[in-house]
Amino acid sequence: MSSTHDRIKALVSEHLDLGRDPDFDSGLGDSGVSSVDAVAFIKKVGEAFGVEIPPAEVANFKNLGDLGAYLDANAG
Amino acid sequence: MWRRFHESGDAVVVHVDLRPDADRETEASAWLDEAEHVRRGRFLRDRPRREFTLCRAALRALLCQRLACGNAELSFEASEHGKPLALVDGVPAPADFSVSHSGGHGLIAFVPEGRIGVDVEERSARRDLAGDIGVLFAPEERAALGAAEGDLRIDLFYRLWTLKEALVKATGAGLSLDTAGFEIPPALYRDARGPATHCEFRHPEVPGAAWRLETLGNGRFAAALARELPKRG
Repeated sequence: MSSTHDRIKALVSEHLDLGRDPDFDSGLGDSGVSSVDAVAFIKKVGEAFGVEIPPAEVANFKNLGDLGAYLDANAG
Repeated sequence: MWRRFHESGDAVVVHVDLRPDADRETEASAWLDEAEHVRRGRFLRDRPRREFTLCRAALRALLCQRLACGNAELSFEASEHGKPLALVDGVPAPADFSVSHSGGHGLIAFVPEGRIGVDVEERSARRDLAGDIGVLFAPEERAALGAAEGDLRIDLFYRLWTLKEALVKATGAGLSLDTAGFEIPPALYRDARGPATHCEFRHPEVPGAAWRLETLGNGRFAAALARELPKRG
């Protein structure tokens, strides 16, 4: 697991109630995360990584793996 | 199990009971097509699987009534940003709809012309309310939320969020519209005589369209409806 995934996993634990480790191949909605929680979480992850994630990119994320790939590509 | 919940002009909102009921979920799953069964199998927890199954079956039954078609003729596809649309025998249906669910409550909104979006949220305490307010809302909304306290702040949080979510769903732009990038009209949440239940709204990033924003919440949940108004002239 990459360090990015480790950091996302820690942020999931801090901010979301999944009841299990996150599956990076699944959408947050598949785990029952509401849209309000998902949007807030993605914005906070962006802040934690120092990456501004444009809303148009957020709409393209199908799963946490996509979020991790975007952060790897855009973190300074 | 559903009932008519609200009407607004020719728009109709139906409430779907999503409380656990194994028999009803089994019956509902029989309405789903192969693609929906695949999607159903992807859910990692029982609650979202149940919410999807019961809401999709209700949506299918209601669309069959409204479009005078059989369930086998009905299929769905998604727009670029994920807004679902119905097809009858592969042809886009002449009506818009929107689905939302939260906990024990599902809402399905239909309109024969124009676009529509609905959102429902069961209110709950939030782990990081201040942080959520900071990332989700626009400046005037953040100020109003900052001035509210206790349950009133939670009520206002969900009132504002459902209005925003209903609107972004109606536009079809989904999460590509930043919820912190536009202000809900203050008349809908902080009029001293009591907030209005509806108003007209124009989104700065969606030129040429006017929307009717309406709060539908009650003591059990927060909810909102956004529907596109006919173009004038």
